[in-house]
Amino acid sequence: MTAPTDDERDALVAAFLSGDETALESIYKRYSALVYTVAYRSLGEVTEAEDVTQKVFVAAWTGRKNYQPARASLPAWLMGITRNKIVDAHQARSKQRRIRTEMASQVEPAAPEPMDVAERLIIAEEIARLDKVPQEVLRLAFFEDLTHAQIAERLQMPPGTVKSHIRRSLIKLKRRMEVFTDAYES
Amino acid sequence: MHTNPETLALLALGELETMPEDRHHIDGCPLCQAELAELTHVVDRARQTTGEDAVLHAPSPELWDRIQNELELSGATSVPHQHLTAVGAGAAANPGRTSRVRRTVSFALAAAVLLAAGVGIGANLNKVTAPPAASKPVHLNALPQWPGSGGTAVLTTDAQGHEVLQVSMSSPEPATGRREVWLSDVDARHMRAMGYMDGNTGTFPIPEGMDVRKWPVIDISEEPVPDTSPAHSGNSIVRGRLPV
Ligand SMILES: [Zn+2]
Repeated sequence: MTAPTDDERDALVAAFLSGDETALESIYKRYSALVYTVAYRSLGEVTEAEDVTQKVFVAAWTGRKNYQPARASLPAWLMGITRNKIVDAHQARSKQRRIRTEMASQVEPAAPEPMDVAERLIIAEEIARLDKVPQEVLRLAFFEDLTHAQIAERLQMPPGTVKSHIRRSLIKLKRRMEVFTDAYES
Repeated sequence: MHTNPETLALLALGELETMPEDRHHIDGCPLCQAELAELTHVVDRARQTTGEDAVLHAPSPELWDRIQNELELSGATSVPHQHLTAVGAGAAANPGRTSRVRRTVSFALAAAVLLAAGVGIGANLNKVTAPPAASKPVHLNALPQWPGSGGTAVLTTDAQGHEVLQVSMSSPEPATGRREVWLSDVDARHMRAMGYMDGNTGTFPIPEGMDVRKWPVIDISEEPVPDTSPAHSGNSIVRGRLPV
């Protein structure tokens, strides 16, 4: 599976910055499910998650002049906005709660940090996209805590091959996560 | 010489005891240190993922309309998500509406390109759950004794048109008993047992004559084995409220 070329990415960003509405549509199609799911998982409520999602894309469009491609990837910038809007929603909520008592049966756990949720979603997806063998290797290493030697035995594979699968897959996960979370060094 | 990259990967997994020479090098090498820290972060996050993280939810199709309206975008045409999956079908289904068709097709093409290129987490459409017809999925929150647990529930209809409750749940705690799904009224004074979970998921038909709107609170409990009492064990894991 190939990554998007720099040209494709640059063209989308350029169109977005120049005020091309179809670029916003493309960006919405690509990232709205991630934005919405992060908001939903953090707020635990559909209406608020949709409100946050709306605010994120509205803010991205109206504030597009503030986006500096040299500082962060577009998805990382969007995730930054998402995080801020979720924090705002939590604050509005606790303000409301002081006024109105919560229903007794609703228990509010500590909200997960939005970027942690985003990272988990991105990693889960990237693991799912790995080829069958490296995916199985990672699954055994992550979730069954097997050593590379045990994995080699289980999968009838040379230990060196297991090690290089692990190494390559971890790098893939890391790069993928960085696209969504890293602001570039300035 | 820098530490072998494969050694760093195994260290990040917590597998290897560090060799003294590696430890010595890593301690003095900011590059290897940074690499190890990043890989360790990836491993930690990956180990925190649950089944729930494998599912992306799509916002309702009307949300794009709301955004377009708020921004007063010129091409305020509604393009529901469903059109994304069928490249030619959208055009064939709407022969009379040229502008809409063109738009739909350009979206479909864009989506096809995205899928082929594997771009963007949202482009993985087969994993994006379509908003169900009957209700939106609701998040089930962990009770304080069950940190890290969570789930979702959705009220939908099966192929025969019967109302069913679909539930999924995950918990870092190993199951010590059976997990049972309950619906209750808002005061939690009356509860109805819907059935036991099948692993992390369960589908429960809503009995004929039961008005779910009066039983909107969903609760999953841990029940002892054998479950000698038909009542709720009092040990709730997660809870949420159906949007009915
Ligand atoms: Zn080094």
